[in-house]
Amino acid sequence: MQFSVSDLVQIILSGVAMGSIYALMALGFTIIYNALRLINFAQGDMFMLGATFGLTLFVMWRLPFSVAFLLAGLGVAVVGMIIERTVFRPLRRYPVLNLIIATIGISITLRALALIIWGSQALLFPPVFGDKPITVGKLVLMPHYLWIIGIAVVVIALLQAFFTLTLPGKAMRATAQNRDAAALMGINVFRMDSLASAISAGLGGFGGVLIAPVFFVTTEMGALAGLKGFAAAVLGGFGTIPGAIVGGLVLGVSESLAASVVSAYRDAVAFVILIAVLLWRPGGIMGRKTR
Amino acid sequence: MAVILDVRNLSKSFGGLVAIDDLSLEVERGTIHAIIGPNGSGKTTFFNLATGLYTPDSGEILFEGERISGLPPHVIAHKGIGRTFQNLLLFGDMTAVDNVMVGLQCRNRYSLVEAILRTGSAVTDQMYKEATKLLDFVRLGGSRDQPSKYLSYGEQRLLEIARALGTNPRLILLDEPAAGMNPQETILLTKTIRRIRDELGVTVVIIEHDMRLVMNLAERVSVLDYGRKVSEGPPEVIKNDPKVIEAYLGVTEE
Repeated sequence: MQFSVSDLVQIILSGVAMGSIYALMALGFTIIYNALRLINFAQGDMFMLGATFGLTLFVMWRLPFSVAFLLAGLGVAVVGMIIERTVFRPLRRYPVLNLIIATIGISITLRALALIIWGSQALLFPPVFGDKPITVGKLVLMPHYLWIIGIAVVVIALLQAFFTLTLPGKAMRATAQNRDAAALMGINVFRMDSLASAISAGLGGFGGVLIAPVFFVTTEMGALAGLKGFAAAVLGGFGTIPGAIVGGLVLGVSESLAASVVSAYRDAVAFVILIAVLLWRPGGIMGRKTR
Repeated sequence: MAVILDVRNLSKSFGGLVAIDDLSLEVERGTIHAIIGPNGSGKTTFFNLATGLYTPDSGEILFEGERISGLPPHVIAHKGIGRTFQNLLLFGDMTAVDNVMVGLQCRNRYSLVEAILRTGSAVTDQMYKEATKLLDFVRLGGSRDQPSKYLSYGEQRLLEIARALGTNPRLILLDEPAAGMNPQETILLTKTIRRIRDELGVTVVIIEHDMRLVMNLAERVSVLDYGRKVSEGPPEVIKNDPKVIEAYLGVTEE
């Protein structure tokens, strides 16, 4: 099979776009893991909620997309905060496995609720980013991929600024590194849990509302997105922020390249890469070399 | 002199093990008060009770006349008790100055949004300057931007002290600050602890095994054994108390 340069650029571009979404999902897994040491199986459903919230706000309430985007992400963050308050906090005194199982319960509950509200039909989100390709010289680019990448970069940059520049960000990093020491520095660690849960859910939500105009919106869309986001986080090195970003991009691009050769195996290829990388480096690409 | 920390009939056990057994103890404001005792005598457990990491089974702890036992750690920190740890609990990935900044944020009570909006403002500039001042105070000014995990063991201990001072405490609890330090570092540490009391006016309670440091520094010494107080007094009295010698060396059958 022969690829022109233009084809290759498009394949990589769409890979980077999907990779940015995976990176947002992977960051969601990472942040809640660092705070509560749990793998949140409901992370994929935050993605689904972002898309469905966005759909309601944009299509039904006819809000401008930018407003719908922000409100959907913030709305999912509020859902994350409520989950922390009502489920994670009361379960904190039990082993973490109980919390992880609880996230599966949350996932099932949210999907059932979403099914009641939005129904079982795949819903169409209008192509807000435009559906006419842009031509730059010989390159033909789909505008939504550029938008997804651009918005994801802004979200990740803001997140990075929050963690490195602001005091609550430093407090959150401190709490993740040592909970007791942070508490003794006067940090309300429970508030940090709440914040971490909100940010992590919000990232999933932004991912969902970003992808909605490209794919159909269904109440089951979170399952695969959650799995890919988790795979990206593990691939990059679980628990690290740069790892989540790199893992997401590597997964997105390699998946896109693989799909251009054998499109039927798109999802399988992602997991084969994951297994191969983990055999070579068990700690992930950016993780520690040894366990 | 006023009592800053008043411990009344405190008890704590873990399963069948009694770690603190009916302990009563008073710390006078403005003193350097040492707590000594063999390993496992309950010294660190006492610190954990005083800072809210554990809740006592019975008894109470009053700080400046107010009951603090049973409160969560961050509330006690806000009331004015700072501490360091025997097994160094720094935020390893963060720079020295950021570690102290985390302590400093205890001084303000901003809401989340306010705190984010103040990023880069005069308030955070002021905190950065304050953090630098505290690093200079413990003579770590030169390592300001180093990630704390790259500092030497002795430097990490000093950084923990600076971070605890950042919370603006009126009482600081130091858990074996000289452990792992070489003789020169220990001398510097002794001077620093004295300056914490003399220049900053902070009352110091110190757990320490280095007897020379304790005898040099402390005005009052409490001796714990099996979670009970077996002796208390000025260091020169403690040094010759047969009960203390017994606690450390064991009793001989005669």
